[in-house]
Amino acid sequence: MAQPWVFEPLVRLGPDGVIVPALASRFALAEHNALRLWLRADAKFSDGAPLTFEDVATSLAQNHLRVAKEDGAVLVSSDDVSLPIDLLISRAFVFRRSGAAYLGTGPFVPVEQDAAHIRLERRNPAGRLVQSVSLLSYPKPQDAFAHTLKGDADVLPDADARWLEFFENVPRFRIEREPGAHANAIAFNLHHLSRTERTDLVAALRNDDLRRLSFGNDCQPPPQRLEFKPPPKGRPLDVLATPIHERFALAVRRELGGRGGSVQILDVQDYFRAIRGGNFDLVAVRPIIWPQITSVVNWRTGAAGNVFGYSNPEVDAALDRRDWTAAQRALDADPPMAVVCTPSYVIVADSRITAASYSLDTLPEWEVAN
Amino acid sequence: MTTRRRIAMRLAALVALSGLLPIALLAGIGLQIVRRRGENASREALQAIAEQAAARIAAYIAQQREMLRALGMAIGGEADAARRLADVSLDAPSLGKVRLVTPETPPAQLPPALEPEQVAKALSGAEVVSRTYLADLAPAMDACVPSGKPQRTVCSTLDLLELQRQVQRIHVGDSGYALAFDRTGRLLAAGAGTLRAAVLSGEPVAESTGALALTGGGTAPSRLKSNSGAEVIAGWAYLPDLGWTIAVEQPVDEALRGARTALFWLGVGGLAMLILSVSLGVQQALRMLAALELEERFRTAGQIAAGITHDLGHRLAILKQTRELAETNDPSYMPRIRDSLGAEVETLQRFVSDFADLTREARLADFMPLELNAFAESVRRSAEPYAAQAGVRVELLPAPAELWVRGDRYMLERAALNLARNAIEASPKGARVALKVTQDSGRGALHVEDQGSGIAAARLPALFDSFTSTKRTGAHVGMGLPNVRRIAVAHGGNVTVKSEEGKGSEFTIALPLQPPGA
Repeated sequence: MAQPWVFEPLVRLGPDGVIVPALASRFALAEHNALRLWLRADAKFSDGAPLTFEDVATSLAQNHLRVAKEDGAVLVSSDDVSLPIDLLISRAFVFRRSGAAYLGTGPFVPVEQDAAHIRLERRNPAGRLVQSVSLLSYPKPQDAFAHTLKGDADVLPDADARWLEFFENVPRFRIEREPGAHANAIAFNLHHLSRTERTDLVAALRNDDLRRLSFGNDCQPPPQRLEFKPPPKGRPLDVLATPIHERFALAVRRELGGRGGSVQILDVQDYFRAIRGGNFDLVAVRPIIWPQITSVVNWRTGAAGNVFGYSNPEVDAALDRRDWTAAQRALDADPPMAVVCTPSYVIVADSRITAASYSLDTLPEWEVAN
Repeated sequence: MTTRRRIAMRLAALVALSGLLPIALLAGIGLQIVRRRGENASREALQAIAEQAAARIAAYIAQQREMLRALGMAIGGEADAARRLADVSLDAPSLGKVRLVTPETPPAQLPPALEPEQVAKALSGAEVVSRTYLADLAPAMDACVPSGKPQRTVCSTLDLLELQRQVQRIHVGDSGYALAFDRTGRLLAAGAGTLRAAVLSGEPVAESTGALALTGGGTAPSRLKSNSGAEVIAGWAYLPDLGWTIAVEQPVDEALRGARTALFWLGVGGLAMLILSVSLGVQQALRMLAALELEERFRTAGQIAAGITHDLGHRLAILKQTRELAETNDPSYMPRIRDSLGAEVETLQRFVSDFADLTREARLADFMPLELNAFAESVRRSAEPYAAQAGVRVELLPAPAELWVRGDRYMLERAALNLARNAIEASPKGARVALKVTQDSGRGALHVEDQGSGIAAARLPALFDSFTSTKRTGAHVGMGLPNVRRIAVAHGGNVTVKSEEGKGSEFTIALPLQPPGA
């Protein structure tokens, strides 16, 4: 969680989901899944040392990226052609080793660290911006929730919507909602269900009743509205889910009426084992859907995150072109899953903290009122 | 502030306080009663709210269990009971996870808080309920009800989040809230945000002790210190079926705000009345004092006039006799006429001096350092001729060390001489008058002792008042001793007298000691 405040990548995802320069002053896509970048001359590590080509090469090598020097620029490429190079670089933080420590170029430096907590201090104090951050770790999310309520912490990121009632009428806290990056969806077994059946199931499952019954009102419906269609006729469909999606799975079964088969609630290990073995018809999933570039990870043929083995040349071509609209259109025509809703990203923060965005990535810009 | 105004204010304050104090005392007692009754009323109101909340919560739990019983009997015996019961939680989320339990149900799928004996009892057709426990994020309670068929029971984990919601909805005033406890004193739901962490952590809170006391058949405190450290008034209710306790509490400051506001305004009103009555009293007293002073002046003028008339009349009679002697043109009378005129002139001069002394005011600017031993010696020398004439000795008994005072030398000398002259006049021939200088408690004192006939005890209290002199020989208008006292007081000191009839008197002028440089 603290990495983006201490280290910076060469490029990062901007607020609209598009890759923007970070430690690179500019960049350009090159052939064969490569990216050409020009390093910022003013970038310095926390010990004052300037950023060098060697630092970049060492850091990116940790992420299995190849780096070559090229006429004042840096050419970065990857052997893994299933993942976009710009996405890979945006996840690779640049560091410099100094003894046992790793130094970054970000606004914060770690000053204390143990198994349960990390304390960071801002390198250059700036007005009312957050000066010091302590990250506290608890064994279970419920413990973090209880300790925040008790006043041990000022921020509870990614709060479960069910917890929010407990924070009502507690003046110390404010509840902020940001658009979420995940979706609640039903993925299909592509070997059991035809394209037509999947398209019909999407129309049957994308409805407000199912959404509200499963997740209440704190989950936003997909922007694209579909005309409701009853589930297509056929054999009963079995639904697989982890315990957090038990209610969702039951609601889906009910929504399918006569086509609703058994509901299997498995722990995470058995769940993934069942998916890999193809022992399901429908499965409740919570995939990352933002930024759009993550579609490449989820649905490009052979991509590491494509656990359902989805393959559609039209989708691959659109993703390779970074044409997200065309890719989505192709996905809608041959759907691998039915997105039911997108839960908000909920953060509980001390009332004195103000920010344009409460995403944790923006924490260095948060201000604290006196 | 003038003396008259000061006296007027004292008088008015005295009258006002003597009138208001009993009223204030009664009001204080009354207000205390009002405050106690206010606290009782608050406690009763909180108690009523707690009882209402307890009744609602009991009804809610009873409703959930009734719903579960109905489901158990309607669905529990059906062939597809497992699936239908699983779907129930979609429509009745408060029932939590509803499931069919049979002897074949794996232990991992049994209700977690039920003991094996309870499960066995439920399978035999009885209804069982577990203790409360924390499931996921809210307190929960397992319950199993009969299905109507042997060895099948319908169980549910009742989600008590609704209890939290009900408790959270209870607000008393601005910051009053409700709390719910189970039979072990564990907090199940809290209206106060700061206490909700204890719902999840299971830590005891300040009210847990009260809840345990109620569970054990005792009583819970109606006034206690909450976890936040604030003093609160609490109303309690107990749910015997569940063993739960409901507390509704409100900070004392807020609960008694009405009574305190009344107290404050009554206090303000009382103070305003006191100020008003004192200011009216001051005005009235000023008027009365002015009238008294005028009357006093007339009386004083009358006394002075009487004294002057008496003394000057006596002098006039002597002068008339002298004139008659002179009119005889008999030269043998000349010595007598001369002596008589001389004596009268001297007497009238003293008479005029006495009056002049009365008009002289002591001014701080005229004060000079005086050493009392030297001053007393000077007084002795001044009195010596008069004493010699009366056949009396004047002796000085100085203090062992120098004693410095500050004052108007002329006025102090007039006062000391007056006392010395009185002593000489009171002494028989051959007697001794002593001028003694001493130090006592930061004061220097000049004592004038005589061996005269002394002063009757009855006269001593009024000795320094005006026009009380009994001497009617020479020019005595009775202003001597009052003038001595006026001078002593004006110097920050005083004058006292000790006298015993047949033995003599001792007058003492005491003045504050001051170093010469002060």
